[in-house]
Amino acid sequence: MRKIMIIEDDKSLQEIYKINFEVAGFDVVIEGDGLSGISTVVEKKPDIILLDIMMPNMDGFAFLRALKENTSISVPVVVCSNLSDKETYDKAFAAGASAVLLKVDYSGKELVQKIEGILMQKKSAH
Amino acid sequence: MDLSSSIFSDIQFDLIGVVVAVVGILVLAGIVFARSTNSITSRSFFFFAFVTIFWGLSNYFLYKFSDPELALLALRLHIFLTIWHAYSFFQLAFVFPYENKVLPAWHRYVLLPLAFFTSSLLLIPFIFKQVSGLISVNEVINPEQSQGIILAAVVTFSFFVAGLLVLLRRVYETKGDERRQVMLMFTGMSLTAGLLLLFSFILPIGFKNFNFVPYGALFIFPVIVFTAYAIYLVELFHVKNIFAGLFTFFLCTVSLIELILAESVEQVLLRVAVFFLTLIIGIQLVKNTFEIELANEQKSEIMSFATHEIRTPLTVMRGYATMLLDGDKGEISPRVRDLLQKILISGNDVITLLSQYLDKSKIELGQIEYVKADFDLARTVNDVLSTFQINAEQKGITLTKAVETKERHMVFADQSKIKEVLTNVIDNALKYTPHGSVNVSVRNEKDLVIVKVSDTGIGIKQDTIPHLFKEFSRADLKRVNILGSGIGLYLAKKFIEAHKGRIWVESEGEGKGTQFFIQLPESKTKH
Repeated sequence: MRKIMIIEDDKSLQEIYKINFEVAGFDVVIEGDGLSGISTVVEKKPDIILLDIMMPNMDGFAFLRALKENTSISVPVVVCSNLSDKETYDKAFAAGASAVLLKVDYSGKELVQKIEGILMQKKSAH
Repeated sequence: MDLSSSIFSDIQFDLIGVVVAVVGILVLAGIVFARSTNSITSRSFFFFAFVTIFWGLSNYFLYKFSDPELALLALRLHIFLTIWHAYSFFQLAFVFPYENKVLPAWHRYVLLPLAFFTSSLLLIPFIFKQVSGLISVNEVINPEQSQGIILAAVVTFSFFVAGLLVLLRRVYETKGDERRQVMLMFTGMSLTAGLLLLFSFILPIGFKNFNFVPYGALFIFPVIVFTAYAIYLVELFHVKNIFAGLFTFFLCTVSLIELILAESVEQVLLRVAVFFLTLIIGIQLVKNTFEIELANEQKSEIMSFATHEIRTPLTVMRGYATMLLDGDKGEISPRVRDLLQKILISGNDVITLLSQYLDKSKIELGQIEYVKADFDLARTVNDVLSTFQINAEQKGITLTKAVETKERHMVFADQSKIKEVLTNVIDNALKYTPHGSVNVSVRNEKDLVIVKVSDTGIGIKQDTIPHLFKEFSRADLKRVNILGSGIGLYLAKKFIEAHKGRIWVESEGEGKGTQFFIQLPESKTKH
């Protein structure tokens, strides 16, 4: 079963994403901030990570840097934030994000489709 | 006689060098101080800059006296300022780049009295007894030194080295922006130290070349420029600010040269007043330019933050409504489905409005940026059309597309912005077409890709067309009850023109439909 780790601090969005990804057959792991995400990512071994940017304790950028510097795992990270400025996109890509999405543009189902597309691409690339 | 050599021999380059340095330091010190009088770094910088100016002037005039008594006085004044110069450098290095760093007690009770005591010794013959013999202008004076010179040299050198060590330690202590600031000051100080070492020590002592010694103030200039830049200009280094700064610098330099060339007391008084007025107004101009820039940046940050905060609950609202519509929480009645769709449409309208106002604000602040890439415009048109299909069906309007599918329609553009333009134009076509059809076509023409959106709607009056792409200009508000931001087409025009494209509208008049054209240059990359 495909496993997705969702790092998102908004409780309602956690619920929406969880339901949508579970309906699509994903095993869903939810973390409330970057710090708890980085401490469980090695153990949970997700196939893909959906990452928010503005979060308490450790934000999305810091998570991406920590993932690159402190772990040896290679997992695609899709940044999904409501920040739409170019700086956010540039910083996220520079820190290693596979894709950057504007959260408000994606309903649950559309997000699932997007994530499935990225996983398919990754699979065909291997 | 060689004309050029005569011109150059008449120009006092050392004087021009000192004038440029003094004006530059005055302007930079004024700007930094005017911006932040509460910061200890700003105040220390101001102190250092002012001592530098007097030190530079005394250094220049040191070689301009032929009377031994005056020469001795000038030398004592210069060494007096040298001690305070080194002290002020140490103080600046100690507090840099912090705003609130408190100077420790030993600074106040040991270092300050030490500088005061050593510099006071210059008033008595303990350091320089006298300048012996007659000297001529531009010659090096040969003073008779006393034991005190060693104390003065040790104190000055210690302040200077301690300042450098403090800076060096801070390079390793600090991180991120602070480190960048310290590195900038350190770079400026290294340049200054290099210049002083070469022109004020190696050349005069090793090669008996004293030609460059009067330029001392100019050699201090790098540390002043780099430090002023590091203190706060670094964040506001924009063309407008640089222009305002250079403009002030130029005016003040001209004004000071005028002052130097004054031939009577009246002229001196008048030109002193003009110089200080120019300086004060210039600094105020630069300060205001900076503050406008700062306010714009803050406005932009607030807009981005507010947009983010409003988008989050909208995402949640959209998420739950979509879940219910998709039947994730069980079957829903057609009536509930209809209401949920209305919630979604309203939510989407708010999302669009928000993005449009954010874009408008960015355009006004000159901060809009385009993320360009190659993509097939026809595919994007298809994507946008699919989002309108249900809406069109509900209104009973036929939404058709005529895309030449055999060839690609590649453009090099910001896809999200082009998507916004297409969405806006197609949305308008549907809104202003009560019945009939909307047709969208894409075609390549020479090295252009053209999208045409034609409808059988209410049409546009000829005299309205020229105003259509202006802000808050909606075609015939009174005829149809339609809500909107009033900036959709204004943004569309801005976006398309930023891609070197063109957007225009044609209509034969009321009730005869409308055709919108969006034209973009074809991508030059071979696909």
